[in-house]
Amino acid sequence: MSARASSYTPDIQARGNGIWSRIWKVFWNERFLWLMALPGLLFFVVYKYLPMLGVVIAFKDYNLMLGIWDSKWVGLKHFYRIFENPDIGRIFLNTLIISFYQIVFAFTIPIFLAIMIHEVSKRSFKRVLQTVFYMPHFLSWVVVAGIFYLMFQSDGAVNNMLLDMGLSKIDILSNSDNFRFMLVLQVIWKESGWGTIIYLAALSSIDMELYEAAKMDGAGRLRQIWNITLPGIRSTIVVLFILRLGSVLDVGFEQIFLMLNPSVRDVGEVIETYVYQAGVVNGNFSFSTAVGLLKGLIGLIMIFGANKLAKRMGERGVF
Amino acid sequence: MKLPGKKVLSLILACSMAASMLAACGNGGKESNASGGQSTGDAGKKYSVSAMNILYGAAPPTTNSTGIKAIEERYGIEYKYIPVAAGDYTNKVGVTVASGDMPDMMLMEDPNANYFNWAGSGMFLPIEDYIKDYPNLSKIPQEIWDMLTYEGHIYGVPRLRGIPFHAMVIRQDWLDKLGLKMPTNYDELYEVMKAFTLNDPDGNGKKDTYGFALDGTFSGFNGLFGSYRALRFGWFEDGQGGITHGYLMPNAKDAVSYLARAYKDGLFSPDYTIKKGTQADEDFLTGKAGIIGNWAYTAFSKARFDKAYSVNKDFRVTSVPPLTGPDGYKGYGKYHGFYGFFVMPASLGKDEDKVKKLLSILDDQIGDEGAEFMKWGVENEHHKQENGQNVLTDKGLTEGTGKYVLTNHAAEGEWIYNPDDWDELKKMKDENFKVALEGEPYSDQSIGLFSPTYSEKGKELDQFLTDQVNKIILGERPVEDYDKIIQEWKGRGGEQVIKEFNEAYQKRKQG
Repeated sequence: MSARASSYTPDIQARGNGIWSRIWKVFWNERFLWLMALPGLLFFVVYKYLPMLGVVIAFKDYNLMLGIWDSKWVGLKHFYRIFENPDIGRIFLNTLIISFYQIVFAFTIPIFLAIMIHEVSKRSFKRVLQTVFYMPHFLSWVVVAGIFYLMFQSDGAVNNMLLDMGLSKIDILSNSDNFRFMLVLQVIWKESGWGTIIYLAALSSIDMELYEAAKMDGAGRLRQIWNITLPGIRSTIVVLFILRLGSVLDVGFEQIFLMLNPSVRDVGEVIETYVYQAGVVNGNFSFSTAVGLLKGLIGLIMIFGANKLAKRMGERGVF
Repeated sequence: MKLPGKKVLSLILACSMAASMLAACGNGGKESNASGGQSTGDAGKKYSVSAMNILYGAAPPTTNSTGIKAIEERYGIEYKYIPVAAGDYTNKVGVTVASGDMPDMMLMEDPNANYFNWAGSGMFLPIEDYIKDYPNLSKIPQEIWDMLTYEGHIYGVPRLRGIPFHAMVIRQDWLDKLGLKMPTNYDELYEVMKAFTLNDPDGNGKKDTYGFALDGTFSGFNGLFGSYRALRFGWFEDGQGGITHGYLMPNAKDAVSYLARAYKDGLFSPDYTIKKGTQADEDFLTGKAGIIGNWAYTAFSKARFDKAYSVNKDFRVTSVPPLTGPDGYKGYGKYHGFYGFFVMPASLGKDEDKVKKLLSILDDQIGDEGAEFMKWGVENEHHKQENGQNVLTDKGLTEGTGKYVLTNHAAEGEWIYNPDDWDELKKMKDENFKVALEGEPYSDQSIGLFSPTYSEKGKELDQFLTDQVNKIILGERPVEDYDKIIQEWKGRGGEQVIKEFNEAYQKRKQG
């Protein structure tokens, strides 16, 4: 690229041509590349950037009749309303705690799982394992929640079995002590297998000679994992971790909405379910947009922060 | 699939923006066309009539349908029927109104904040001057027209429903088996619920039944606490000339403590909070609970009883006459008598003949003969005679006139039956209809009233109340806390809602 660009410098020396004509020259030279990129660019402009303009309704009283542009400006009213709610602290805390659990458990387990699959030497067995682990990902949350209700409600399969065995019933669905724990277990069961895909790809690119060399030096299995496998996927883990932090306030609306009930709302209500109730059900689109904007902002800060931290620790980061 | 709220929202907004832009462009041309064409036509011309209506279940065909053809022939119109699935209906109405291209008749589900907004900004055609000219419309009770009146104008023709609302329904075969008699007050009800829980009414040797089918959203409280006149999401006369929220009525705390005691004694399913109204219904039909609180006469349907009979052939139910409340009151809450109403766009005002045509169609469907036609359709095509009784044919079930009905006959006498009801079901339906209106039935006063605060925060406020009351029932908070909860509810905006609803109520009372 740079070599090509420098070859045009003689043209630019023509007097009176400013920076624009220089840009035009570069552009003209690469016109076919741009042409090829055009559909992709259009896609992003039309479906990603134009809708973003709708974010102005966070600062307006959006009225369906008046439309986006003619609705009244109200400044930060909807942002104030977020903090007026006496429950907002609890809701925010719930979101952070559930998100923390998910990062500690649901984020790390796929790494271990991927390494374990990687260590399986028989190819056909590995394939079978992978397929089995991927399966739950393709069930929708509605199905998973339905299964959970049928199994664990007070007269469900599990409790009936326990009762027949002479044991006492267990309460999983409406018990506020273990609700978050159950949520994270569900995520682990459903998404761990799927989460291994990227790690497995990274693992397959590790040079096999390293393992042979290590074996010659007398390193055992665990030693090899610690000194070769893990360092081999370290940068992948860091990148995924940074991206995960960007959605730290997204804890999975569908899942939590389906599992939530009045008994566990104190520990289970998160920002997304609150926005659904306050914004969408009540038809208060401005309010839900304001919350969404705030969430996006926090996510952005988290990504920048984590990226900086990663760079300081000697990793490459995402940008 | 994870859908962050903002993305979905911006998508919706973008779509509706695009839709409204397109519609706005298209509309200008079309409208001038239409008015030009109509002014030259004569009064007896064939109007094209479009109608948007809410749809439950499968959509009927909207082209090439014998039902539509029969309707077109009856009214001499070209009929364009637009069914919209119930789940999307509210959104669709918003987008339709925003686009400025409303169909000739459009169903609004209830007189909500949007309705008042739109009526106020002159979107709809006032029809109060015409009503007296139509024999069936003029027979609709004034009470109902009052609920639809906004600033002196009526903008909608109601879809009539029965006045009776939810009543309590009990397993008669369980009562008989345990040798119990029908409860008449709340202490007796408690004993019956206890017996249903402890004495194995289904005779399977296991303690797996409960007294009452309770759910976490409290959908059965009109039946259960009818005579308490409390714990309902409605606004009722407070006896001092104003109205107040059902959770603030004098007996509300009593009702909560009744529930807490019953939960402690195990009369409800221990994890009732995970259930919604449909699961409670399921529990009742499959013999897990002996009493349910939200069965109006419309609940007596073939589908429900088929399900119940498939579990237990002896399933028999009776509607419980209103119990005597703690203060001696007897009666269930009433329904407001209509579900949804049809509005017309203000632009129709230019064409009075068409307005009259539309009103005559709605009027006809409320009258005996028109309603009969809409229910059964054309003989030998949509229905046939079997043993001297009308039966819908397969065609009648999929594309009969009943699939395109707009409004209907007042719910009285024979008109409350479905075509597939059998005699025993009709009898139960009649009984429920009658029982729900025994004693002194009372109405929710807030229908047709508008409170800006309630329309903004209402759902949150209601949820706060159910959550806290659930905690009391579960024993996580003492019953004494109820007053504190109400105070907190007021602080969160309830006070303002009370004020606004009362102002609107007084304004309506003074006419």
